[in-house]
Amino acid sequence: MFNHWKLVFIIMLCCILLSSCKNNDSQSELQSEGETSISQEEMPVYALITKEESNFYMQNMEKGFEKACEEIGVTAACYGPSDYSAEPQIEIIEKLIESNVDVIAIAANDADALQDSLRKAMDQGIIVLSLDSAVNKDSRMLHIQPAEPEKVGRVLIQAASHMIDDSGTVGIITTTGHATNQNLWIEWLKQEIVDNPEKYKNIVLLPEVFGNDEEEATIMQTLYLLEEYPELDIIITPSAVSMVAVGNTLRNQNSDVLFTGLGLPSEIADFIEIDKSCPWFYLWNPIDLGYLAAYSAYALDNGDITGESGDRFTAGTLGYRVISQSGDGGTEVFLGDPVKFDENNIGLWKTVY
Amino acid sequence: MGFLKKLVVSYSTVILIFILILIGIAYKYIVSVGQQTALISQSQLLQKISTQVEYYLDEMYKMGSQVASDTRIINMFNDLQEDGDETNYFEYSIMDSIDMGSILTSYNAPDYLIWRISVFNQYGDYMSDGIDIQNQAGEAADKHLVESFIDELQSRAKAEQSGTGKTFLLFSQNDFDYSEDDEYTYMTMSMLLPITNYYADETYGIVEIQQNMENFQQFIALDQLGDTATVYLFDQEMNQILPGDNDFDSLDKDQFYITYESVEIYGWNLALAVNRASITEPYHGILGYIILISFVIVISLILAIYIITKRITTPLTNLSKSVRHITLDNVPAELVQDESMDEVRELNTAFTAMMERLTKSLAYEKRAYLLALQSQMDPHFLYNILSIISGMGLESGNNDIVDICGKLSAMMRYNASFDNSNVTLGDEIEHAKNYLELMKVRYEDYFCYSIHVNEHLKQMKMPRQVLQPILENCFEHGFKSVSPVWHIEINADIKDDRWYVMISDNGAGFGDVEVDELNKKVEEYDKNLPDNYHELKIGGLGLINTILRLRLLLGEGIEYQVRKNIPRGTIIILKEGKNNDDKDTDS
Repeated sequence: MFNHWKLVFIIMLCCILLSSCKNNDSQSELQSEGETSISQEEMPVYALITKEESNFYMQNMEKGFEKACEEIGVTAACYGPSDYSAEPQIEIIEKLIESNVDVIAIAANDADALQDSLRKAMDQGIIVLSLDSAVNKDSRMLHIQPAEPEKVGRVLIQAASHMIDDSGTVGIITTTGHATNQNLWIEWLKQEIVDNPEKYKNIVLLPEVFGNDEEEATIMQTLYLLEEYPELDIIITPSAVSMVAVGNTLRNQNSDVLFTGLGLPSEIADFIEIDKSCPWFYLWNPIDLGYLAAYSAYALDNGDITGESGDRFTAGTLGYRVISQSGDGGTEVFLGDPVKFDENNIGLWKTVY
Repeated sequence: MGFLKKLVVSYSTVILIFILILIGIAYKYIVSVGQQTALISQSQLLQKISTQVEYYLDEMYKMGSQVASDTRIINMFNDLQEDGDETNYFEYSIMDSIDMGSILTSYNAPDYLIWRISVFNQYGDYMSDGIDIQNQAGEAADKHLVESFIDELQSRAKAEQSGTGKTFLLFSQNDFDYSEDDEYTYMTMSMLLPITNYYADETYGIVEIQQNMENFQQFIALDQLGDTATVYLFDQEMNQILPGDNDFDSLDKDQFYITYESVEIYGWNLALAVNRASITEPYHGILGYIILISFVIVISLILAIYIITKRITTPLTNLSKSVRHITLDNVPAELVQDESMDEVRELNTAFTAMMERLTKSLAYEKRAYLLALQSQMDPHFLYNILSIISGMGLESGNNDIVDICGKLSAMMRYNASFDNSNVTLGDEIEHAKNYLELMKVRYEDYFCYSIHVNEHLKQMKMPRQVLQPILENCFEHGFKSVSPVWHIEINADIKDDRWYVMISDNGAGFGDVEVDELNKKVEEYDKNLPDNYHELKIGGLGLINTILRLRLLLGEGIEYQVRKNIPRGTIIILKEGKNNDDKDTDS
């Protein structure tokens, strides 16, 4: 005789088996959720400090930095001071040290003034690197160089000379005497003339003037050059802020003087397409610069590189990069050659940055 | 094995076999359909991949065509042809280098869909944009490209002869063949197009559109195929391009379903190999589910069968138990009652009724048997006495005593005989005659009788003592209140093909009320004979007794009539009913 209880037992066993399968699924889901929340809590924080918060060039750099952080899987935190001085950057660095961030990447307003704060950060185990505008070699582990300063400096005078058919007066409006990059580029600009005296024999290079990366000051310096040197043919200005100010001043003065330098396509497009006051100019991709900085920080953070010359790493979609010795005795990694923006491609690039 | 177990096991076995066959058929069908679907899907998938590959190569070709037809690039490489210097012009001409780089970057920006765009000529002039090669890596890659200049030019010639309308050369290679570090060795695919001045019919250089093979695989979603399917990519010469770590020639073709496609314009070929086992593997899980579900269904059905069968069989089992316990000693024992099922209840009720009737019948039979035994005991003594009386009468010369003793003895033997309870009408008439003769001796001239019997009826079967009770009633009731001479007449004849026996007297006769009561009693006793038969003693309700016994023997069709005789007395007629024709065939 088949026992009632045996049947009930078998059915209950089946039910338990089925329900246990379901329970396992639920447990897996919970576990997965738990893991996600833990990984979110422990996500590293990569901080970027720009030169100035409203600077459009710097804002594009932030875009690239944030994009790379998203790809890497870290939290990006971008900050910028309200002016182009070292003090507010120091304040931000101190706060980031207190927050115990994992990485500080900084576009320096002063190469040496940030040293104490950045050394303090490195002593606490924070990865420190500079980008665009370098801090001194003792204040960083690595510098992200937009382009080789020699190439930038030489191409600026080559281009200006070409624009005025290798004959005429050339003025320079730079930012400040402390701006590392600008100083380096102008050094190489002058070196190009020294190296090719025959080529530049009809070129008169005026002493550089300082616009402090401020619109008003740059306008004043432009007006000064126009007034002081009526024979002026072209102005070179290796700063995105100065480029706009110079272009606007020349437009307002109905001047025939040309200008070139390093600027943002979206800001200079009208001077190429309409005013024709800027035949072409140069700049690297600031988005890529921020992107490369984040991947460099990641390589330092996870131990793939130490920041020594010869270290190699892969920077996302930018590919393979090799660290090299920089002119100041530290190390750097290059983004690449600058891009030339002229009437052929300005339409494309002005929509990008 | 018990009745319940037999039923449950039988039904369960049938269901189990049915389910097993069903599972087998269902599984085979599902697998068959699944395999066909998988093959169709495989073919469609490969077509889709082929389309994606063609699209990908088209995009490379479009990009290459745009770069190769850019007048700035054509002019630059035209100038470089004329200078004939075998150093890389772009190494030392910063402005032109940045110019060329910007041109290439602008083609690729802003999405950088092409891994690397390079332009170069046979004099070592080289410029590229995209994934950058720096320092020692860059120098080595340049060398590699310089070394391949001659091949490129030869390839160009081949490409022109391909007749596709597109001039290109397509191949795959390791980008950094020199590298000692595999981490930085990229497998790439390159499409080469000539930088040509069509008017001069001269080629000044080559545009190389280069894609990382890993990006290419991601684009055509090869990494989403899983471990069970592999796409093999072959070039024009059927050299395997992808995958790098799985040789198609060494593949065991019997273990895989393989479908082929061709990207005709570019001459590349595709093969999709899907592991046969992987197609059937998913169905193992389904089989598991089918078995599990079937198991639950079978268990549920068995449980249902068990419960239903138990409900059906329990009353039957109880009935069986009750029947087994019935003996002649406990026939009246009550059966187990079960109200759960109408059919069983009715069966039980019918069985109970049958048992009750059987019980009564047995009681009746017992009593009749005792009476018979009892009635056979006494006559022996009486016969002896009658023999003595007869002997004494003979000695004394009184023949009447001898005659009386002889008739009385014959009557007693007739009444006491149980050898054959049924006799003929002739026997009954003879017995009635003996009785009437004895009554004649008693009442002498006060009584007379007459008997008329159709000879054909004398052999007709009928119960014993049919006539005597009626005749006794004449003397006990009919003649008591009337003056002699009393007369009884017996007629047995055939009328309208039906026999009848008529007994008439000239006694007091029955009133109408008495006749009705008599009829009622006949019906009542007829319906419930076993309960009332003891009241029907001969001499008591003799007429009813006679009628009922006739009906028992000859069937319900026996009719009777009781009516007044004229001028007085009673006529009782017993006759064959209309539906009883078959019963008296012996007459």
